[in-house]
Amino acid sequence: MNNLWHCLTQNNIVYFYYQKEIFKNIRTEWFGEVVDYRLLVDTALLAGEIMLSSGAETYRVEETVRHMLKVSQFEHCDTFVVSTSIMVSIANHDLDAISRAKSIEERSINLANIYYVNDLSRKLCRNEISVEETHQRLEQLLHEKQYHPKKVYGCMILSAMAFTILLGANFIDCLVAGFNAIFVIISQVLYNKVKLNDFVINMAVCCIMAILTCVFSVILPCSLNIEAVIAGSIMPLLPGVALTNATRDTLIGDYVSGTARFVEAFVIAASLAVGIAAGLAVGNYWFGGIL
Amino acid sequence: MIVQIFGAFVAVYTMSVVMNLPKKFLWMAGSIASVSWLVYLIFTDYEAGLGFSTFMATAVSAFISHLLARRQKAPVTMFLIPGILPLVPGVNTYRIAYHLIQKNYAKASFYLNATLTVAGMIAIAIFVIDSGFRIYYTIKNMKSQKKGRNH
Repeated sequence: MNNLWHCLTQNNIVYFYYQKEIFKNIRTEWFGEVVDYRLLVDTALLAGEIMLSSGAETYRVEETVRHMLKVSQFEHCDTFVVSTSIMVSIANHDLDAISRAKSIEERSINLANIYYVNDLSRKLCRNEISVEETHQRLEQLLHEKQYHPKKVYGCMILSAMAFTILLGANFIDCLVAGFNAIFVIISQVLYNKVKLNDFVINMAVCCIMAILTCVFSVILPCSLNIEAVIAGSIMPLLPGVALTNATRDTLIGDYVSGTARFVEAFVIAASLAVGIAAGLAVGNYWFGGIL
Repeated sequence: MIVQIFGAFVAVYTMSVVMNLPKKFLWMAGSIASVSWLVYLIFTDYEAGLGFSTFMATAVSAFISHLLARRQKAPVTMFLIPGILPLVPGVNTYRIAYHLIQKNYAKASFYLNATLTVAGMIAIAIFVIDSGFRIYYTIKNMKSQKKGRNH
């Protein structure tokens, strides 16, 4: 018993000493404030995560995260970003490395998030705001919505109509595309609420859209430019920006992210094309020889 | 032509709302896109190839984006992604997959070629303008440093 007690206290003393050492190293005086390096790593990771899931290029994410980590003034501030995951680590000669990793599942385009994260990281690097405040603001950013969903949906319909005009269609084609875009909205709502697989939803929605376009082309007295209508109405789903980002990542030398994004873009396009091919086949079978 | 340019403006304005662009940048994004679409239309009218017209249109929009980004103190991507949106080969990607499914390999390879050309040209144009601005600012910095030494 005595022996055990002795052992425990000994361990505790060692433990407390260890804690004190780490405490001394982790928290240092910095512009009259206490910097928590763990929080700094968390903040940088969160910033990178938000940027990556908002559709920023990989090299931009790496640059921003590294700038934020350099606030710690450690010897080694490293980050490794691919389009599906992100790793951060900082190390100094007198401190164990602090590192974290995170995988990113949802990817969409959200320019406001890129803008605000960029702004915050710039302010942090100029010591205008503290690490705690940056972390708080980043977490607020995750829950913020700039536009009302109804406005976004209305804009989806308008953009489908406008893109149909850009593809060289006339006014009636444009109206049909606007009607089709309602199904794009439905697919977005389903994706947000039910969390169904992206591929399946896209396929189903495109199938319905293609059938409807066939119906319209039979019903309406004038002839429809079917290809332009379909291409215009799926415009909000198409991976154009992903493809351009993929090319930029590849040309800048980041081949892993580049190929991943190429494949992502092609899978999305394939899901749309499968749905549309199926829909057109059904429409052809029902109404006979439109195409 | 006017209808097309107006269409480009509306398309990019609304698409920017979908992509959650901050409100104060919406007008600028739409204007950049319509200017670049105008350049694209002019070059295709004079029968410059697909690649060259895309290159020029992207270069113009990248140039304006850089100027605006400096003025508004925002990252260039804010203006660049909406600005090149009408040029971006989204529809062609879909066409590749569609023609592959239809076993129309000649058309599929044609659209694959077009997509790679356009995507590559957009990337190259962005890089060219980017490096141009970098060189300009480096020279400017060097000059101001020299002046500082003389005084």
